Amino acid sequence: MTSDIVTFVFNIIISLVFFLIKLLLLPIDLLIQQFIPSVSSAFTAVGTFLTLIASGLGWAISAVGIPYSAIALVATYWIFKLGFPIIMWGIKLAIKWYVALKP
Amino acid sequence: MMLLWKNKLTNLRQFGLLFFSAILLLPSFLLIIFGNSVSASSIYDDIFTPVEAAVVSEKGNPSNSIDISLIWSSLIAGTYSGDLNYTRLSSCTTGGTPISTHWANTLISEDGAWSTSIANQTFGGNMAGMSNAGDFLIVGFKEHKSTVSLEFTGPETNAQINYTGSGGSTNYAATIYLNSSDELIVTCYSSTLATFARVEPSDDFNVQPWFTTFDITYPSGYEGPEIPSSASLPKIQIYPTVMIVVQENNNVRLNGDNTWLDTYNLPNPDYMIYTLTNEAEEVIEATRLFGPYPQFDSLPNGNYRVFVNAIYTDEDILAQYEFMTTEFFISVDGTAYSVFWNPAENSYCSVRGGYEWNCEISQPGDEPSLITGEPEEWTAEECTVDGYPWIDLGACVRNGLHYFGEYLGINGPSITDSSSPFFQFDTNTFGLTSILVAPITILNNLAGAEYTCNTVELPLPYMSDDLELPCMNTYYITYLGDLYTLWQTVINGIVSYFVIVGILRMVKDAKDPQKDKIEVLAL
Repeated sequence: MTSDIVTFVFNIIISLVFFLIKLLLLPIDLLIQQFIPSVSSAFTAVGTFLTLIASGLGWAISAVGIPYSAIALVATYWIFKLGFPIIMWGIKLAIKWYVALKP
Repeated sequence: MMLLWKNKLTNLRQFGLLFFSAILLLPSFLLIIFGNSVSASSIYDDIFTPVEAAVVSEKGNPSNSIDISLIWSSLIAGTYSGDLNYTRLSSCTTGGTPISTHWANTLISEDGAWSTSIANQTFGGNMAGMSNAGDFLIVGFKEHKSTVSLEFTGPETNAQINYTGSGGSTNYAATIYLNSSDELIVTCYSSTLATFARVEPSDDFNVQPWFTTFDITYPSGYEGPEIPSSASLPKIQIYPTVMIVVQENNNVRLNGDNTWLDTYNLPNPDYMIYTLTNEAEEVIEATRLFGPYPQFDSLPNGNYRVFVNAIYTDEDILAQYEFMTTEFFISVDGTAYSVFWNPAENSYCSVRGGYEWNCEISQPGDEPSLITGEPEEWTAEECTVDGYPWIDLGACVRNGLHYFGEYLGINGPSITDSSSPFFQFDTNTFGLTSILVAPITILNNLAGAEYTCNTVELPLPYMSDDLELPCMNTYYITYLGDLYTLWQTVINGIVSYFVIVGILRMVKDAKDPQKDKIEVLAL
């Protein structure tokens, strides 16, 4: 249950970061593409290269022989380690607001 | 501060001047651009619709006038009315030597009947007797050099037509003017500096019509129609055609379709370039060929483009034609079909059959017999030649055009529409966003344990096949067995150990009231 909540919060954070990156960089990207398209192409090529690497990550893990359960364990640990304090902080903040606003 | 404002005002003033200048100049530019295009178009139309240029009609006696119009560069047409006699018709001399070999073919009447009575270099007679219809044409051929000097002697007026053609180099030029004696002078220069634009052959006079660069001097006060110059005529755009056959085994074959050569009576190109790209416009294969047609075998499923370019180096051909890039969209998905280029529409004609093609071919190269497919779907003649679908292009065009995009349920240009930055932005493959988003995507996938192994396919340069790296765990399980299980157990144990240690440390830190800071992922 806790793990699901933590994962949910993590997904929200990731989505928020995604959204903000897109929102903030959209005009910059459009300007770059409009006026210095070659630079835009270079950026896109770098992004494509990273995506290519990402697409090969699963194969690399498979080639090294690392079990997926170990990767999932590490990922869950870090999500919990980084996400749980935020949840606790959020709960504390909510309680503080409730106490402050309580008539 | 004052200096700064002064500079700003100066810049503003300059900008304003530029802005208003642009506004004032814009109509001029538009006029130039569109004015020229309209002019070229109308000239082009006029050429195909012979116009009688009333060059001298108002000069001479109306009853004995000659109207001269140039239909094509090699055709000089005059409309004769009245009882007019010509006194001399002579061939030119090249280095003083008269050429009279082809004179029989240089004077024809309007109805196309060749006049064979002018084989002599100089002769006389009654023009009316030669062409009762009243129109005559002087036809110059590129095969021979000739100067035609016609002097018409009427009761009350004299006119002279000088026509000079230059053979071999296929160059003609002409000047038409009236001399001081109201003589009409048409002089066609043999000029190697002239540029030409050949138009579609005309069957009317069985000649190869050529536009000529005319150097025309019109008489003072002349207000009649002007003879166009080929310099203002647009080049004919030619799309080289091929037939593309997509086979069920994902092989793509290109077969010959020489209609574009036949239509324009063109020689074979010096070479052809066939380029195959994927949907992302990445060149998979580019082939430069002199003879045989290329084939692209075992393509992965997907959408592709095939670009066909004809390369000529002959300057005379390049001066007349503009060779366009023929672009095909093809989809390779294990389904057999054919794609043609329809020159009339400059578009595809894609035929996809879901039925068996078979027919008998008695001799290689013969046209196959009629095989009717599914009439409600397609009524073209279909069968196979050497195992490849054969479809009559004419029938294909006649019976209907199946545009490739329509068949696929997509519009061809929609593929290029994806180049819109907004679309690419949504797919996280655009600009800076793609760089920043890629690691986060990896992190997100790692957190969701979504990294299952997928076969890695890497395109290899100059190879039609991709390098495929299969997932190794299946091989490890097969060939290593328990050793692989033991390895995974050890890895799991080590990872679990560090995770547990981390959790214990986290719990220990949680007890410490001095360590309630919030740790966040540093992005």
